[in-house]
Amino acid sequence: MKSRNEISPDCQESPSRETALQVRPGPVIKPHYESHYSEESWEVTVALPGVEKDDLKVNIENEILDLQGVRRRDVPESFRPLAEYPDERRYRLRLDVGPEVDPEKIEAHLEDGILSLRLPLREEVKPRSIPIH
Amino acid sequence: MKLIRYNQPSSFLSDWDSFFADPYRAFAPFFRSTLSSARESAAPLVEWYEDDENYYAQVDLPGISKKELKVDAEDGLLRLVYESHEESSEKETRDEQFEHVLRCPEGVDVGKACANLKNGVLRLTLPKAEQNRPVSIQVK
Repeated sequence: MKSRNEISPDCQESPSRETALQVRPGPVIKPHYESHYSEESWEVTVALPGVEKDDLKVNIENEILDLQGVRRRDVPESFRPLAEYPDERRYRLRLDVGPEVDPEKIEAHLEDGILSLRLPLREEVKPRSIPIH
Repeated sequence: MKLIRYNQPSSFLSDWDSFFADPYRAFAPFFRSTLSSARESAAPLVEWYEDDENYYAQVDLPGISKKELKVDAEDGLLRLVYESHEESSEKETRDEQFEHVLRCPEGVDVGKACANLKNGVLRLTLPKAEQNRPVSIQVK
């Protein structure tokens, strides 16, 4: 399921544009996510199990929210894998948040492998009731 | 989080995952509605490891807290049960429940198993029974 705001993680960026994490060769996984709109904000929740806070970067630029994270294999060397697993998994999610989000007020919180993003709408686009005189 | 022996007739065996299965389907109820995006993901649900003393299972459970999760061990099976009770408004309450059954490797002493949940990943430590551990024989 692809939301109208979603941008393909494979989408090429211009070389001059800085990214939070260098995208190395290898598969990049689009994490599962859900989004909800309200009158006040856009709430986005992203499943990132096993991703540490320090391995997660969220940037917003030109109305595009760019989330990049790395999940490193977190087991002692003495553990023998019983199947083939990658040493790390790279996640990327790019969302077009549009002009109505105020980039200065975005909040992010990581807990239990879920990143919760709150993207408040600009005051001028919030619905308001018009007083009748 | 409790880890207890669980004895129940094996009526739910159709829900088994094979020991080495690497199911890519969505697990957390939180993301139940996004099955198509779950399939796009290459993140495995379960990873299995071992050393001389234990087997280890790592299960992705994003969004689930320790309070909401119970792990029952039956002979050869691990049953992960998640229950949450959410009051979304004064009148409405939302109950969510799911269970997932993992087939345990043979020769595990489930009575000594332990579980740890961190960053949305459940780590199960399943001690091998004494008779299944490798023994080094001293050469005289």
